[in-house]
Amino acid sequence: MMRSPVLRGLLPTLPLLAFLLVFFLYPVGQMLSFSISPEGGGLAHYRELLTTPLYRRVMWETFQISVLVTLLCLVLGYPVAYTLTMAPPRVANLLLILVVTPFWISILARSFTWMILLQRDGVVNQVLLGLHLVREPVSLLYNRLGVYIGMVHVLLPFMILSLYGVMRGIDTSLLRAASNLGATEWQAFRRVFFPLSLPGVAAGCLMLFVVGLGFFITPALLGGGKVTTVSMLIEAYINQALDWGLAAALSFVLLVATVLVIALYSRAMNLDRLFGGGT
Amino acid sequence: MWRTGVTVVCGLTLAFIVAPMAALVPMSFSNTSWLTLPPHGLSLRWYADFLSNRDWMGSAWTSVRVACLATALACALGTPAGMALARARFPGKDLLYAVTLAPMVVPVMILAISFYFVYARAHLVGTVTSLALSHAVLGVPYVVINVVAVMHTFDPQMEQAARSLGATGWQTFWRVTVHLIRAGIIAGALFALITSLDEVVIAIFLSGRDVVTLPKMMWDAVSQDEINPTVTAVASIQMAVVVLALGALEFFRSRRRHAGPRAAARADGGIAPGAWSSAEFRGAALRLRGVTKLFGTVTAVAGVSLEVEAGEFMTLLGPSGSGKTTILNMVAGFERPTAGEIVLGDRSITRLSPDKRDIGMVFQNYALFPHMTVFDNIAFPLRIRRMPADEIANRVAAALAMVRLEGYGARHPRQLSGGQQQRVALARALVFHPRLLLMDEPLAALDKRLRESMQIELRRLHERLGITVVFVTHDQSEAMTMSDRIAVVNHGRIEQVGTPAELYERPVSVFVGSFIGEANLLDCRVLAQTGASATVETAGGSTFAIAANGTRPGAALRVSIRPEAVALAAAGAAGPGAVPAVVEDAIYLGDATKYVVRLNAAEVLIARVANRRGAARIGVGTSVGVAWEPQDVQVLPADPAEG
Repeated sequence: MMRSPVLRGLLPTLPLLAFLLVFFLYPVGQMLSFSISPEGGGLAHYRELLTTPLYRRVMWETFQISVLVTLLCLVLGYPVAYTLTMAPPRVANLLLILVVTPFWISILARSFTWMILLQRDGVVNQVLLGLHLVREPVSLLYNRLGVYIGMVHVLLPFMILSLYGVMRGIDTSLLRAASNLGATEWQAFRRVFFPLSLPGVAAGCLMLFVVGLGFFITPALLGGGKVTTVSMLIEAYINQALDWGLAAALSFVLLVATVLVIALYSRAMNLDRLFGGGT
Repeated sequence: MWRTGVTVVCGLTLAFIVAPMAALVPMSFSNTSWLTLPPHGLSLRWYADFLSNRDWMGSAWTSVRVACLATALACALGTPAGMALARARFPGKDLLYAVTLAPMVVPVMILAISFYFVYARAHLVGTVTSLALSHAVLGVPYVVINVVAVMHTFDPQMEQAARSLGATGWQTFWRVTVHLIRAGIIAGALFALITSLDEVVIAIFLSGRDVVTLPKMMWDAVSQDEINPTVTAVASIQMAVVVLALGALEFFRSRRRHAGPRAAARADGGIAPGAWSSAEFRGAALRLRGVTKLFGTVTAVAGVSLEVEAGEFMTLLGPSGSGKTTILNMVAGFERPTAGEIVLGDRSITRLSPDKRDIGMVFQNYALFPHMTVFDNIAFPLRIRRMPADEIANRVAAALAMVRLEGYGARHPRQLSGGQQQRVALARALVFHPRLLLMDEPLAALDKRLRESMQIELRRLHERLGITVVFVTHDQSEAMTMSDRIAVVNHGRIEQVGTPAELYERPVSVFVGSFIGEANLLDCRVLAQTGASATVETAGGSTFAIAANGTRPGAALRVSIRPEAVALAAAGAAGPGAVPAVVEDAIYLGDATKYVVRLNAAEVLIARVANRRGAARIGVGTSVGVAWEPQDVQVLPADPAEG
C-alpha cells in the first residue's frame, strides 16, 4: 500500500504531466526546433532578425507599448486598489465587482466596443466637443493612443487585483499606530503603507509587462495597421507570407524574452504569488 | 486633501473600466446598422439576426462543445495534480508546478502557431478535438491554481481525522477531501470554461470550414472594416451567460455559508453520567520503545520510551516545540518513527496505517467535517466499519446523549459553539469504542471557565469508561487536574514520568522543577555535612541547612525551594537558622500574598504566604528572616542544558 512516499506523491500528477508533454511542450518544441532546422532555414532567419531594421523596430515598439501600458495601469490602478483596501467590506465588495466586470465579455467584444466609442463621431469625441475641450474631433482610434486605451482597459483589472491582494494583507492598525505616533495621513501612507505595498507593485508590473509583450487582438483591431507588435508580425508571416521559418524564429525570440523576465523575477519572488495564488 | 484626489482618480478609473460593458448592452438593442450611443430607436433585430443565422448558431454550438470538452479534460487532469502539488513532497515539484502554469505566460500567439504547426501535419485542423485539446492546455493552470489554493485553506487534520476514524486513503479522498475542495474545482472549471469560450487567437488558426468557434466568427466580423452590429448582440448574450453563471456560483456559496440558524449562544451541557458504561470499552496498554523521529537533520523526538498502562490517563506535558505532538502523531500513525517501536495491547503498530489502529483522536481544532451534519460526523467511523443502519442510529444517539447534545444531530459543525464542537469531536472519537484515546490540546480553544469544567468532565468520563487516554497539553495545571501520571517532555526527550504529586514534590531536573509550579532555584556550595543534613552557602553568600545525605564539603549543588515552603517572620521574631532578607515587593493575590525578598545583592526568593483574616501584612522595605524546613529543599542534579 504505502510504497515510497515520493512515488505516491508523484503518481497523481503523471496524467497531467503526460498531457502537457504531448499537447503543450511537444508542439512548442517542434515549432521552435523548426526555426533552427535546415528546412526551416537554419540560422539565417536569426541573422535576418538581427540585421533588418523592420524587426528591430517592431520589437522596440512592442517593448515600448508594454512598458507604457504597465505604468499607466499602475498609476490608474493604485488609487483603486488603495480605495478598495480602505473601504468598508460591503463597499469594497461592490467596487470589486466593478473592477472585474471586463472579465464578463471577451477581449474581442471589448475592443469592438472601444472601436465604436472612440470613432470620429463616437460618443467620446461628442463629449469632448460638447465640453469645448477640443475644437474638432480627435483621432482616438487606429493609432498608438487607441492601442493604449484598449490595452490599459484589458490589463487594468489584473493590476488592481495584484495590488489589492498585497494591500489587503497589510495590517491597518499599523496606520493607526503611525498616526498615534504623530504622522499625518499622507505621511502614514508614504512611510508605512506604500513601502509595504511594493511587493504587489512589483508582481503586478511584471505580470502586466509579460502579458503585454504577447498582445495581438487589441493592437490588431485598435491600431489600424499603424501599430505592429511581435505577435501581429508572427500572424502575418504565417497567414499572409506563409513564411514559417521566420515566424518560428520570431516566436523563439518572444518566448526567450518572456521567460527571461519571469526567470529574473522568480529568483526574487515565489511563483505562486506571481499568479495571484488563485481566487 | 490628497484623499479627495485618490477618490476622484479611483472613480474615473472605475468609470473607464465599466464603460464598454455599459455601452455594449444598450447598443445591442439599436434599431440602426450604424451604432451610436444612445441608440437610435430600440429593436431586437440583432438578436434575431444572431438566433436565425445558421452560421452564428453553428459556431455557438461548436464553442459550447469545445469549451465543455476542454473544461472536463482540464479538471480531470488538473484536480489530482493540484492536490498532489499542494500536499506531497517529491523532487522536481517546483519544476512541475512551473510547467503546469506555463501556458498562462507563454504568449498565446506562440501556442497558437505551435498547435497549428503540429495539428496541420496530423490533419486535425478544423476539428473539435484539436480545439478542445488546445483549450484544455489553457484551462489546466486555472484548475491547478484553484485546487492548490483551496487545498491550502483546509486543515490537513481533516484527512488525519478521517484516517484515525478508520477510513482508508481512498475512502478519505472520496468522503472528505473531494467535498472540501469542491469549491476550488468549481471555480477552476468556471475559469477554464470562460477562457475557452473567449479564446480567439488559437481559434483563428485551428478553425476549419465547418468547425468555427463563436469568437472566431466574431473576429471575422470585427476585423472586416465595416461594423457588424450582430457582434454586440452576441457579446451581450455572452455577458448574460457569464453573469448568470457567476451569480449562481455566488448564490450557491452564500447559501452554504448561511444555512440554518447560528448556534445557541452557550454550551450549557457537559457530559452525561451513565450514558455509556465501561463494559463497552476495553483500554489497551501502550508501550513506546526507543521511538525517534528525525525531520531532515532536526531531531524532533529522541529515543522516547514510555509505558502507559491499560485504563491510565497519561499526559504528555511540555512547552511548544518539545516534540509531544510528534509523539502523539506517531502513536496515531500520521508520522512514521525513524527508529523504535510502538506497541498497543500485545501488537506492534509501528508500521500500521492510521485507519487500522483503532485509536480515537480529538484534534486541537476538532477537525469536524464541515460538509457533514453532527450525526454524520459521529456516524462516520461506524459507516466506514459497515455497521447496520439501526445500530449506527443507536450508537450515535448514545454518543450524543453522552455529550449532552441530543437534538443537535441535524446541525452542521459551524452552527455549534466551540464547546459544543469539542464535545462532538469527543463523541466521534469514542463512538467506535477505540482501545486508546488521543487528545491533542483539545481544550486550548475554550475560554477559561469552560475549559476548567471540561477538565473535570473528561476526568470523570475517563474514570467511568476505563479507556486508556494519552493527553497532550502545555498547561501544567490542566495536566495536574486530569492525569493519573504525567510525562514531562522537553527537547524531544521525556525528562520525568510520575504522578502529579511526585513531579511537584520530587522533580528530578531543573526543567521539571521550574515547569511544574513555581520554584526558587539557588546554586550552592556545601560547607559541612552533619548526619542527615548539610549546611550550604549560596553563590550570593547566604547560608542555610538542607536535608541531604553523603554530600562532601565543597561540592556544588543546585537546590529548589517551593514558594509556599518559605516562611517569613519579622527580623526580631525569626528563629535560629533563618536567613536575613529584605522585602522588595508584596503582591496581594486574594488567597495568598506573594513576597519578593532579597537575600543579598545577587539573589531573590519568592515566598507565598496564605492570607489569614487579621494577619498583618509585611510592608515593602521591612527586614525579615526567611526560613524553611530542610526537607522542603529539593536537591537537583546539575543540568547541563540549563547551564
